[in-house]
Amino acid sequence: MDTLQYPLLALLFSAVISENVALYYFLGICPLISISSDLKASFNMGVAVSAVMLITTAANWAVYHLLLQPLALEYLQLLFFVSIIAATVQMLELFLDRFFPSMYEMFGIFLPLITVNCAILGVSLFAVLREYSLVQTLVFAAGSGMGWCLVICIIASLRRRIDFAAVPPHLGKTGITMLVAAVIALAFSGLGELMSGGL
Amino acid sequence: MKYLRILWEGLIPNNPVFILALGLCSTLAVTLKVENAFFMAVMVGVTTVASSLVVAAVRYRIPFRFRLLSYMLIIVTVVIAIEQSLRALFPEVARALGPYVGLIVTNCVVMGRLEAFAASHRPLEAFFDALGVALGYAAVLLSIASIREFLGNGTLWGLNVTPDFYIPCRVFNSPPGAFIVFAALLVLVNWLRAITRRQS
Repeated sequence: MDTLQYPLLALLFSAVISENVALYYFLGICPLISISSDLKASFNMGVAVSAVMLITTAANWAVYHLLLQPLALEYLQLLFFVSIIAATVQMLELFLDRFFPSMYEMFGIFLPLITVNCAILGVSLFAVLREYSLVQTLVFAAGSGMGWCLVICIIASLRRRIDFAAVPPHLGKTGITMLVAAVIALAFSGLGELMSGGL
Repeated sequence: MKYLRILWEGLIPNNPVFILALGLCSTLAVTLKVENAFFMAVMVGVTTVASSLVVAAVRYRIPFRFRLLSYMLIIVTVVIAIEQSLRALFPEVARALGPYVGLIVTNCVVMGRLEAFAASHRPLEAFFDALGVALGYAAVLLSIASIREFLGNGTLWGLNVTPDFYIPCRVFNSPPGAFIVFAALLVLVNWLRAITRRQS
C-alpha cells in the first residue's frame, strides 16, 4: 500500500490500528481497565463513544476554525470544547430518550460517563493541534472511535477468560488487564509496519 | 499534626494512582522522560491545589444540582491559566506534552478530590489534602518515568548514567513498555501492602 497515494486511507489505518487512541495515546484507559468483562455492554459503550466522538470532534473543529480563530480567542478552546461535549451528550440523551427509546435503553446509561472520557476531548485537541482539514478530521475521529471500540471489545472478551484463570498473586485485576493491554499494544504497533513499506 | 495526617493520607494510604486507580491516562502517556513527567506532575499538582482551595472557599454558595458543572468550570479556568504560562515560559516542554496539558481537565484525580474532600471541608484542610494527593501522584509519575527513561534510553533527565556497554531496551520507550512498568510497580506496591498488613 502506498501511503502517499491514499493519504486518507493511511490516516484511517493509523487511527484504528497503529496509533490507536487507547493503546498508543493512552486516552480513555480508565473504562478499559475498570469495565466489566461483559462483551455486549462493552460493545454498546464503544458504539456510544464512537458516535459522540464523531459528532463532537466535527463540532469542535467548526467552532475552532470558524469562531475562535477569526476572533483570535484560541486560548479559550478548552472551555468551548468541554462545554460542547457536555451539551452534545445531554442533547443526544434527550433525543434518544424521546425518539428511540429502545436505543436509549441500550446506550443511555453510558452517555453521562462519556462526558468525562478523555478520549473524546483528546481527539478534538489532536485534530486542532495537527491542523487537519474537515475531511481529515472526520476520518481521524471515525477511525479513533472504531479503534477504541475494537480495543474495548478485545479486552472484554479476553477478561472473560482471565476471570477463570489463576492470576499471579498481588497482580490483581488492574495489573493483569495492564499486561493484556501491553501485549495487544505490541501487536497493534507491529501492524503499523505495514504502512511503512512492509507490503 | 492533624494537617500532617491529612497530607500523609493522600500520599500513601489513598494514593490516587495505585490504590484508587484514577488518572491512569497521564500516568502512562507522559512518562517517557523524567523531565516531562516532572512538569506534568507540577501542573496537575497546581491544578488540584488551586481548584480545591477555590471550591472549599465557596462550598456553601455552589448549588448541589450544578456542583459538577461548577467544578468543571473552575478546573478549566485553572488549566487554561497553567497552559498559557507553560507555553510562555517553557515552549519546548509544552510542545512535547501536546494535548496532555489540556487533558488535565478530564483527569479524574482533580475531580475526585473536589467531590470527595474539598466540597465538605475548610480551605486549609482542603489545601493539605490536595497537596498530599498531588505529591502521591507526582511520586508515581516520577518513579515510572525514571524506570522507563533508565531502561529505554540509559539516561535520567537527559544525563547519561549507564556505562558504554549498556544496550538500551527500546520497548520501554514505546507505549507497551508503559503498561509493563505500571503492572510491575503495581505488583510491588500490592506486595508491600500485604507485608505491612501482616505485621500490624
